[in-house]
Amino acid sequence: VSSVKLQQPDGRPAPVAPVRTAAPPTWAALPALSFAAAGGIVALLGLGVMYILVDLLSVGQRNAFALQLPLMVALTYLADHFVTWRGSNTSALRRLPRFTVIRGTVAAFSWLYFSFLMSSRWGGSRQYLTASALCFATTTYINYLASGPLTASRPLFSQRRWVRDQRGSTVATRARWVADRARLKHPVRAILGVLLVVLGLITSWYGGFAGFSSLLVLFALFNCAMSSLELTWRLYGWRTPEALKATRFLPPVPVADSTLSFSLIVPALREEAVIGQTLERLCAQSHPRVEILVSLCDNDYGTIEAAQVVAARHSGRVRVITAAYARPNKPRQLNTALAYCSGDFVGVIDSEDDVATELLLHIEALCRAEDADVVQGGVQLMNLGDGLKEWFCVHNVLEYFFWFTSRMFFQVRSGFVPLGGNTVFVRRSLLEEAGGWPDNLTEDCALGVLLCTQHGAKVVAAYDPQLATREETPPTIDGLRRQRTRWDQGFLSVLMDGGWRRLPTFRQRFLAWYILATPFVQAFSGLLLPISLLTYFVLKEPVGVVLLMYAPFVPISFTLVLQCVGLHEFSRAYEQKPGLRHYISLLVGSYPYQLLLMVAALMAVFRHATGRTDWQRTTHIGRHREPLPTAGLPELEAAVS
Amino acid sequence: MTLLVAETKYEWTTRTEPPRLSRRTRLARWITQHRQSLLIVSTLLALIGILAAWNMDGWPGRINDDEGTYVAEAWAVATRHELAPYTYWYDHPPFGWLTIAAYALLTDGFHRALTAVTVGREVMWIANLVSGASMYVLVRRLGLRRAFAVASVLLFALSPLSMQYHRMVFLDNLAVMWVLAAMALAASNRRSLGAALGSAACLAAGVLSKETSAVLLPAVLWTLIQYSDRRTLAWRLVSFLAPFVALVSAYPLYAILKNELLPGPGHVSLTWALWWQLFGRGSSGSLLDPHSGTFALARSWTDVDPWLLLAGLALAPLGFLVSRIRPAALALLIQVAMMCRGGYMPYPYVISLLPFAAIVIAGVGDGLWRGEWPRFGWRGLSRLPMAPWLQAARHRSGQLAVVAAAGLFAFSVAPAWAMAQHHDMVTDDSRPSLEATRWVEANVPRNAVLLVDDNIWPDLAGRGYTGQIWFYKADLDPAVHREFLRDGYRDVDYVVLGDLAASTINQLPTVGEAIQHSTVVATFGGRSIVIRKVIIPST
Repeated sequence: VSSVKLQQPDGRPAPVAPVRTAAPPTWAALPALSFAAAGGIVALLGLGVMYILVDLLSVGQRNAFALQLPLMVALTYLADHFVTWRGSNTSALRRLPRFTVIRGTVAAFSWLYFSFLMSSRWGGSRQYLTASALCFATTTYINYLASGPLTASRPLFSQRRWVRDQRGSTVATRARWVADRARLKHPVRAILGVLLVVLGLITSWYGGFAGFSSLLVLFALFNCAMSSLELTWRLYGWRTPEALKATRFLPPVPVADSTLSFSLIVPALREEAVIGQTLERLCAQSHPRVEILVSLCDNDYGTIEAAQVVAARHSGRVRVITAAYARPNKPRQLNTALAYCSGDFVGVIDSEDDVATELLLHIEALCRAEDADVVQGGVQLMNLGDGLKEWFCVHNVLEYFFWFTSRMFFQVRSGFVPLGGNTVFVRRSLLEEAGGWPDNLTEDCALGVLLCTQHGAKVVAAYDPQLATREETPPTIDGLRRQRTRWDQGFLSVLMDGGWRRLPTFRQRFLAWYILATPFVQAFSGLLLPISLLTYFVLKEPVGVVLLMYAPFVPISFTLVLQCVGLHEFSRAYEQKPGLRHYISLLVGSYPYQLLLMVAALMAVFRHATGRTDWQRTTHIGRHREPLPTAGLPELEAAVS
Repeated sequence: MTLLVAETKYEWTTRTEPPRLSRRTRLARWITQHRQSLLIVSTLLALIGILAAWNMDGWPGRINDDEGTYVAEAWAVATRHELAPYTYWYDHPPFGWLTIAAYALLTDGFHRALTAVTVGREVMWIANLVSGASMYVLVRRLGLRRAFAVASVLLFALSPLSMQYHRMVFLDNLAVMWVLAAMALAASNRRSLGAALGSAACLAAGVLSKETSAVLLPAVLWTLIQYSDRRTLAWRLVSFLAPFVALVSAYPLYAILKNELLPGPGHVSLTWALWWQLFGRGSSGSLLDPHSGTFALARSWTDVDPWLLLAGLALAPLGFLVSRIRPAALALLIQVAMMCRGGYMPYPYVISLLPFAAIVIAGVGDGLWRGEWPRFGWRGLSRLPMAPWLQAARHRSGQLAVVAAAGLFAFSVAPAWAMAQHHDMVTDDSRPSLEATRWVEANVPRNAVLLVDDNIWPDLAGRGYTGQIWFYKADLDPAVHREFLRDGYRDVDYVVLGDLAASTINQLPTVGEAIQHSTVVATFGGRSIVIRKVIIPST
């Protein structure tokens, strides 16, 4: 196998992706250490006060705990200011309000937690001391954040004292501080949220049924709103006949009238099994000006070989570009190929995609008629699954179906579009201005967000069953879980990245937040659902409350029926023949599928929290295709050898 | 590669939807577009509202116990947070009196109004105005011209039957309001999924107000299909049926939660109540049998006003020829067919016939005026070749028929309706009931045990009485017997009732005995309400 030279057409050496230096450590270890020391001393003081109050003055245990709390809070505040963050340039008064709010919440929580411990488990002599120590320990981390990073309104230290930054300008420090704080805010909010829920639970424990009931009603309303929103998105593309028509492609531009040119990038990694057929089909595009760039890793010999066979046959159209990557991933391969692109629009096609031959003429029509910067075409998984093992396929197929027929158009309308991974076409000038694809696990979503929020791109979408790119589901359930984990993690990183905050209106920002957070919100909602069901029959709640708990099941059952209609419509549009088992799988497997997504979401959160960003490729075996005509095979093999 | 040769220059088309306008602009545009209809509807509603509100409480009198029953149930919801003052036995789904209770709570009704029934009648008044407005929207969407739309609303709201039945507190009035709204939404010109969903929600509210509305499901569904686009029909249907079923099933779910779905010893149940309403209850016979109760009931309706019902029924077959009003004609005929079935026929059944009769009459009139007769509807008929003069003659004859009908209405129907209207506006038949309540309040201690009708029941409850018993419950509800009447009629102090039919008294032994052992202490409205004090014979 000959290696492919890394050269651009004009002989310039290939551009090297910019290397980012590792960020210097953000928070020095010292404040944490002194916080621990000072906090430990204050906690001991608190325990001492407890002892005096309870054992010597015979104050009630819970009252004693409540009494020592303000003392502790005040002491930690002083300790924070004069010990832990000594020399910081935020004034003590300015951070007092925030500090009070956060520490107040935490204190209330720890008091309730203490009461809970004392009432349920402990009661013996001196055990109150252990209980209070436990209370202090559980709230340590959030107290640490409250002590400094969260409540400071400016960088805590001037750059000279703590930060040893090579580039060393104050601006850089400031930017890093903003980034740090933004990164801190989210977990803290999550922790505060969890604390509030626990607080609510404990309160309701004491408040009796009224409190508990209202919590249940709150759950129900949340679930109801969630599933209604989901429902709206699924139906958005069909809401009126006119709306449906507006989702379709325009008639194709006649070949003689076409003016634009396209560069299609096919990034691949170990896809020798499917890539040949994909490229053959791409070469059959009826659009006159198309170049196809296959972006591969230079040690992926099998795929390189398979691609070169096709490239040899269509020398004008297909080029194989290889490069060495320490850790190959899709955005890096795309960016490498981008440097070689010459078309007006750059498209991404995955290595297993079946692309309609007329597609680019339709895309050009859209680009010109609607002056679009980005066009997202439809993608559709095709295999409904055969045996019991493949029960999840039909769910996955319908997810794609509703996403590209309906939800995509809602996102386009709202001005916030996480793009799909392929069949997406971006104006090259804009793509270069944006610096190519962001190095993210879901580079498609990140690119969409980047273009929408910072480059004012006009995104349009269109869908036609005849023009949809056909793909296959992951072959195993574990493959699906892995793929979904990667997507969720990508979405989470885009969410945390916060670029969506630049959207102009609150409505848009909310939608953007919600779109990105959907997998996680759904996971939460899926967790709550069994609770709702249980309360139906187990708890003796007032009937009115239980009926309210029933409310989420109205949209949920609606969604189930909708899935079946969706399967019917899908089969009609794509001439598939679903069996009864597929419909049954839709109804019965709905919650297990949601559980699967929930697991993926949780794993994504875990991976994000632990900083793991490696990815595993999704295997493709070509189940969405008709078997290859055998006549073509010997020829291919001959060409390979 | 083959190059396609373009024969014509490529033409740009755009598929972008019109830009979304601000809310204020949309509202302004909507008002300008509909200003004529808005003017007409507000005038109509003002007229109907005044005529219907005039002497609303006085006439009709407290002649039907159902009024009091529903109001008492609303009262129980508002004050005791229970679905009924006695054990709720699934007589009807509760959404109707929940609505009344909500209104009463919002307006402080039970403390403000003269009697509890008055509050219920206020709700009916509002419901019928909403029905009128929905009906106008519906028939306009069905394509009737404005004059005929106005005619249909007037027929619906001003017939003497309407004046009588629309004022009384019947769940049917609320159900009709919801069904008309459901049909109007189903016929929305935007043909959107949201409209289908709204329609389903309205119909579900109708069914949960009065279960008999479920028979109108085919009519609403037909309207929905007529006004759907083929491409989105499947989605429209699922957007209608799934939420409808889900919402209606809240009712059986309630029964399941209370463990009252299936019959069992010692508790009421939904299935038993349904069985009883459909089959168990004494049959009123079929409409086709002139000696049946149903026939007599229908006669009582046509005695009040023959025109609206009979004309609607007569024109219903013609209505099937005009495609737009076929669902309304179907709704009318389904209900008439139900009358021929031979089950129990409730007294206010006529309420849900009235709007569809009015739509059929106005729709056929509109068809005639447009010259669609006898071409209406089916295509085979309309393709028959026809000379132009014949077409013109047919058109003219149709218009002539409409003018003739209008003349007949002006000279024969309108005067009768006006006389009825006058009577309804000046007659106060509710006074005896009110006076009886006042007498009781002045002369009977608060802890006395009274057998009363249901119209008085909530008023006494509101005035601090604890021992008032709806007389039916004295014998039919074991819980009441246990609590108040351990010694049978001897525990009763007063009986406040009109003269009961012998057949009723035979069903209610305790009430019969109490009346037997009592002396009359006061009468109101010439024995329409009699107050009796029970005298226990010394042994």
